[in-house]
Amino acid sequence: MDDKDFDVVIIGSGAGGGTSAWALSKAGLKVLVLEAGPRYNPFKDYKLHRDDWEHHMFPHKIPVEKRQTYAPMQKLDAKWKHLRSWNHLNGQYNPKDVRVSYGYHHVVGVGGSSLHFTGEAHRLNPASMQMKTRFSQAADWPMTYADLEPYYQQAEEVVGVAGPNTDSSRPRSKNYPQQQHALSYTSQEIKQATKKLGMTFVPNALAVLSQPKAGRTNCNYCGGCLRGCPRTDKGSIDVTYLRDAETTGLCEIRSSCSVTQLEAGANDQITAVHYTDQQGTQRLKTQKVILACGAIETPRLLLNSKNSFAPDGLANESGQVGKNFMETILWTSSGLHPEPLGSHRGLPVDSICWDYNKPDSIPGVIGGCRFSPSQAESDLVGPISYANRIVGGWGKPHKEAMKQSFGRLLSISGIGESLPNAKSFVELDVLKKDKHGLPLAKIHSHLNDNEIRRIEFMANKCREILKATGVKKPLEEFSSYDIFSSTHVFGTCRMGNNEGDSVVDSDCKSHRWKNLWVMDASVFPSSGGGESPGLTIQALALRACEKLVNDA
Amino acid sequence: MDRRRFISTVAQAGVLSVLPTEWAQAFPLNKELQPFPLFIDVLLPETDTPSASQLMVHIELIKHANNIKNYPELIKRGCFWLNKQAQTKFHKMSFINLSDAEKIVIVKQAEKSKNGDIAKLFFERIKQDAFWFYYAHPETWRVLGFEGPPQPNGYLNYTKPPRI
Ligand SMILES: Cc1cc2nc3c(=O)[nH]c(=O)nc-3n(C[C@H](O)[C@H](O)[C@H](O)COP(=O)(O)OP(=O)(O)OC[C@H]3O[C@@H](n4cnc5c(N)ncnc54)[C@H](O)[C@@H]3O)c2cc1C
Ligand code: SF4
Repeated sequence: MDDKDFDVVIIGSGAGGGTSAWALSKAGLKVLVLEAGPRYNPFKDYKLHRDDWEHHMFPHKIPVEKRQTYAPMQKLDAKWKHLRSWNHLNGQYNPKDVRVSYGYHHVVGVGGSSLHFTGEAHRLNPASMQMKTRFSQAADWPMTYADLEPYYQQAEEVVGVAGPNTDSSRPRSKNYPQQQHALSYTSQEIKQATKKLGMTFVPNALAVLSQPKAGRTNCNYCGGCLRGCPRTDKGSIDVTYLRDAETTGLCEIRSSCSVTQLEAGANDQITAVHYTDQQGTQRLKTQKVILACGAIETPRLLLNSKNSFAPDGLANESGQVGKNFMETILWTSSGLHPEPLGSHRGLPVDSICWDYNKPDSIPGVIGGCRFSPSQAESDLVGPISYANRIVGGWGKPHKEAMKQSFGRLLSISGIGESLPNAKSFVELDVLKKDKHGLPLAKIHSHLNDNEIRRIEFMANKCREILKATGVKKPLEEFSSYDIFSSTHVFGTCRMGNNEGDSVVDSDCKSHRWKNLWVMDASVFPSSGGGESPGLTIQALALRACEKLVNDA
Repeated sequence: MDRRRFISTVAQAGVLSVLPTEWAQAFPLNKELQPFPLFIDVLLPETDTPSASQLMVHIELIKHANNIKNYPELIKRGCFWLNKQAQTKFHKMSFINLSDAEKIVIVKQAEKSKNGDIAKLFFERIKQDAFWFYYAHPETWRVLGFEGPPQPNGYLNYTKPPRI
């Protein structure tokens, strides 16, 4: 397609960008996707079949550690010392007396961070969508769960979500398109053991095929999703939305094209997109632009695109671009179960407990959470990690202990609501620039007492759950209290009805700029009580694109 | 890891940076490095599975060290320390002349050395990397009940108790 033919230019190809490309090309619009990263070939790039598979984490083709910077974080308080991260062999993960960063984990590539994700496909709990009205926290969603429901359903059908049809807190208009996955032996044990705590573990809703679909095979329960799924049964964006979008003939994906600036003109219109590719810098005139670079890079691009029409950064009339940053609030406890479980087998997060998911379900704390097994997410599913983090020792006793321990490791994680506060935000780093001379995004993260008390609740529950299963003592714990480490990030271009305190409207469209939309996790007004965000990003994008097409 | 933070724990442990040195010429093993395979065999001896050196872990480790600044020097100094202990403690020429029980005594001493001592550094670093390479050999897996690698077969028995 000729450059001038495109109806819409989409920047970023993750959950937000990939879904938009699908929706618009299916509706007959000509779409160009500009993606900073390269393509991944699931059959060649992922290494789960190799003997040294444990040496290979997700195979990032573009290193991500230094793409953002982090402002110094808060001092740690001795009163929360029971919330520190530690390992029984290696000591404290963060020996300092200030919180440190292990980074914003994401992927720069066609399909975005979904290439790396574990496939959780959650709908938000409707009770978490009115945080401002109910608790004077965060902001209300400018739509109801019922408004989003048909788009959740559509998203589940496109990627092939398998889940239980019994979750009454998230009403469904139809059954899940795929039959739920059978619980692993480990999850069966957890489910049984936690009954005495009054907790209910159910099969998790997963964007992972339990039956073959459209040329994709079904899962064989290898547990390796985080390293990249080589069977394409995991519903990452590249093998679902983008594959379908390209077959329409109306969607062109240009990989390794990094957008550096949105050019804005008079009449509140974006006039062109500037990007770099192997040939150098390109300027592309554009009719409509969808920004979907994720909740860190989207505000960065807007702030880096300031001009005489928008001196404080594009779409930043409310001053909210980069503000309201919400992160992943996590606790994990791991220990050895008395019996062999074969706990390295099965889907990474195959069961979940939603009992404390509503925002008022934790006594004395605003915002909910959820619990799930997390051996794979803790990277405790192979002999090397057992040897170095669980078993230790050396010589014959070490080898004997390896035999006794392998397959018995149980990890339980809580993930909780993250509420925005004035000290958590994303800004431009005036000192650190990328190779194009553009300031990097600098992440400020701060936990207030409410967040820390939620972590404490999750810590206590995770320890209780382990104990109920028969684990004598944790051998490792990991906490957001002393380490920032985020896979779910949100909120930095908040959506809302009031243009004074939000960046986009309920259709993800800029309040001021007539041809600019933001369709990624930046727009979340609140984070939910530990739900994974991917499916909600997709539902929002499907809804916004439908409106965009209807209005066109 | 990270919720998922642990994703690169082991990689993060690589605090030493990359710098090729003349180390490459020091191998195949010259005399001063002969204790090395025996040392890693004390850490990972032959039992119902092979020892580390039977799986050529010492060679893998040396190749790995070759790309990391100061690592070759650490191995050289560690081997020198092992030989020195063999001489002062047991009046033998070298670590390679010791009995299995004597070697264990010396390795225990390395383990108990003060943080920051070369012996401690050598012990900790080699142990971690020896595990890293050793347990990437399928010969070490069967007795653990590990039927990997994860693909291409997956774990279709995942709903059942594990086979012991
Ligand atoms: C390890 C891990 C596990 C996770 N597990 C789950 C899970 O189980 N379930 C779930 O729902 N979520 C999970 N998540 C989170 C989920 O992946 C993200 O929330 C989601 O992918 C975010 O979508 P997005 O479109 O906002 O951003 P991304 O998916 O990050 O996509 C943004 C894209 O924009 C591109 N881009 C950025 N800047 C530019 C630029 N200037 N020019 C061009 N392109 C650009 C990036 O390269 C990237 O491809 C996980 C994340 C990680 C890292
Ligand atoms: S567990 Fe299933 S979805 Fe995950 S990587 Fe393995 S085969 Fe793919």
